[in-house]
Amino acid sequence: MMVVYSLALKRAIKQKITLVMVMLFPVIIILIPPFPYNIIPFSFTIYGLVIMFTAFILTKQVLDDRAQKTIVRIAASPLNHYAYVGGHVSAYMSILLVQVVFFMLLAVFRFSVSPQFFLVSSLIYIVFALMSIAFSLFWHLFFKSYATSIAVYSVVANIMALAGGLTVPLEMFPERVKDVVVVLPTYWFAYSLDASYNGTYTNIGYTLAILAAFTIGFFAIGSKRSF
Amino acid sequence: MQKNRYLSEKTFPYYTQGLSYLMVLYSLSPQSPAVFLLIISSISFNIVKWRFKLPSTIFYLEFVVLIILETFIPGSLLLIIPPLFIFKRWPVPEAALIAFVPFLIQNVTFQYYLFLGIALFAVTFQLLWKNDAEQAELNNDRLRKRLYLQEGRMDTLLNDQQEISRLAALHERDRIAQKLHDDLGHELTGAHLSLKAYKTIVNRNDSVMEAFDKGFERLERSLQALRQTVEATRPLESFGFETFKNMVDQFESPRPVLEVKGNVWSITPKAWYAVNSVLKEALTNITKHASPDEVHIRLEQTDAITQLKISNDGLTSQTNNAGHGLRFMRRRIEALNGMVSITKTNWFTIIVTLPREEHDA
Repeated sequence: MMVVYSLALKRAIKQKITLVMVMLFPVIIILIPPFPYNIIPFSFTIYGLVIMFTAFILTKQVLDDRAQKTIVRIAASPLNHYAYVGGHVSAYMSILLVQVVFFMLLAVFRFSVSPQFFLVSSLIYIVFALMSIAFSLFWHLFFKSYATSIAVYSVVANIMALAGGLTVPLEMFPERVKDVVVVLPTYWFAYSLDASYNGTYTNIGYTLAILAAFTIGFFAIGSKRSF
Repeated sequence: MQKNRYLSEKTFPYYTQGLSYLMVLYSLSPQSPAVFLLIISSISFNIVKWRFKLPSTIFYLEFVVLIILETFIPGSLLLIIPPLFIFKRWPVPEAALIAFVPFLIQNVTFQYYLFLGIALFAVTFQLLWKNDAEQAELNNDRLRKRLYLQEGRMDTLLNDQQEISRLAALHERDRIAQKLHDDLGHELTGAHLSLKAYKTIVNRNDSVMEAFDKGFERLERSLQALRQTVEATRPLESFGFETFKNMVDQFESPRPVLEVKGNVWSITPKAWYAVNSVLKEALTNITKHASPDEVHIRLEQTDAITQLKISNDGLTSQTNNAGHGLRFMRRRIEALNGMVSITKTNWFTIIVTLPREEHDA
C-alpha cells in the first residue's frame, strides 16, 4: 500500500493542475469579500466546491488506469485491489489535507475566526474532502473517458453546490426547497459550516456522521473493481 | 432478445428500494439532522450489505436496532421496509415478524402498514418477474446447447460422407484392377503362350511369318501395358480389411486376440469405414482409460449382419461415463441403421452390429 501511496502521490504532484488547485485556488477564494450581513463569509462555503473539483481532478488517475487497461495488469499482479484503492485514496487525502491546512491558515489571516470555528471547520473540511474523493470514485465508475466524466461532473457539481448552499447562502432557501435538497451531501456541509460559524455546535456531530455515512456509501460502490 | 441494461429483473429491485427510501424520507421530517442521519446510515448500510454480500440474517440485527431507535425517533421502524426489496427469496418470516412486532410498540402509524403492503406487493412482483426471466434464460441455454450439438453432429456426418465416398472410389479402383488382372490378363497371357507355341512348331521364314511376328509383338506389348495398368490402378493406400488388420497389429499393449469369421471381403466400404472408426476409437479409449491384461477383437460377417465385438478386462471407474468419442461412435453407427451396445460387467465390451448391404459387385 505504501508503494501505491508514494506512486500515486508522485503522479498527482507531477500534474501542474494539482499545484494550481492546492496553492492558487485557496488564495483566489480567500480574496472574495464577505457578505455585509452577519452570515458566514462566502469563501468558506465556496471552498467546498474547490475541494470537490480538486478531489475529482486527483481521482483522474483511477479513471486513466481503467481507460488505459493498467488496472488489468495490476489485477494480474500480487497487489490487492484494496491496497490499490487505499493507497490512492490516502495519497489524495494527503494532498487535500495540505490544501485544507493552507486554506485555514489563509482564513485565519483574512477573517477573524474563533479557535472553535477554526477547529470544527477544519474537521468538516477534512470529512468533506474524504466524501468528495469517495464521490469522485463513485462518479468515475460510470464513465469510460475522463473528458465526458469531467464535462458532466462540472455541471452536476455546480448544481450540487448551488442547491446545497455552497454558492448561495442557506438562509435564502425556502423551507420547501430545503426539504428536497437535504438528500445532497453539500447541503449538510453548508449546514454544518453555517451552524459552527453561528456558534451552535449541537448538531455538528450529526452532520459529520451524515457526511461519513455518505462517504461509506460512495466508497462501497466506488471501490468496486471495474475493468 | 436484447435485454434492457437499465431496466431488467435484476435492476428493478434497486429502483423500488430507492423509491421506498424516498417515501420514508418524506414521511419523516428530513430536515432534522438526527432523522436524516438515520436514513442515510440505513442507505449506506444497505449499499455495504450489497457490496460485500453480507448474509441476509443481518436483517434481524437491523430490526432490533430500529426497534430500539423507535423509542428515540418515532417512525424509525419504517426503515425496516426498504431492505425487504433486495431479498432473493420471498421474505415471508421477515415480513411476518415486522407485521407483528409493532403491536408491542406504540406510535406505529397507518403509514407503516401501508408501506409494508406496498413493499410486499412489489417484492412479489419482482420475484415473479425474476423467476420468469430465469426460466426464459434456462430455456435459451437449453436450445443453444441443442443447436450446438446438432451442428457438431452435422459436421461429423459430412466428414463421414466425404470419407466414405473416397473409400468407395478406392474400392472401385481395386475391383477394376482385380478384374483386369484376373479376367483380361489371364486371357491375354493364354493367347500369348498359344501363339508362342505355334511359332516354335511352324518355324517358317517368309512374309506370312513376318506379319505373324508383328502381331505377336503387339500382343506382348499389350500384355506389358496391362500389367502396368493393373499396377497403377491398385490403390497404394490400405483400406477395408487391410486397415483393420494393420490397426489390430499395431496395437501393442496388450496384443489383441483377433478372431475373424465369415467372408469379410464382402463388407462394403461404408460399413468398413464405420467398423474401422469404431475400432480406432475403442483402441484409443483402451490406451487412454484402461490398462487391461487382455483384449479380444472379433469380426464376423454373416448373410444378414456385420458384427464387431471389442472387449477388454481393464474396467476402471473412469470408463463409467460415456465421453464424446463413444457418443460420436454411436451416432455414426446409427446413421447406418446399425446398433451399438456397451456392457460393463467385469469386461468392458462394445458390440457393433451393422445390417448387411448388397455389394455392388
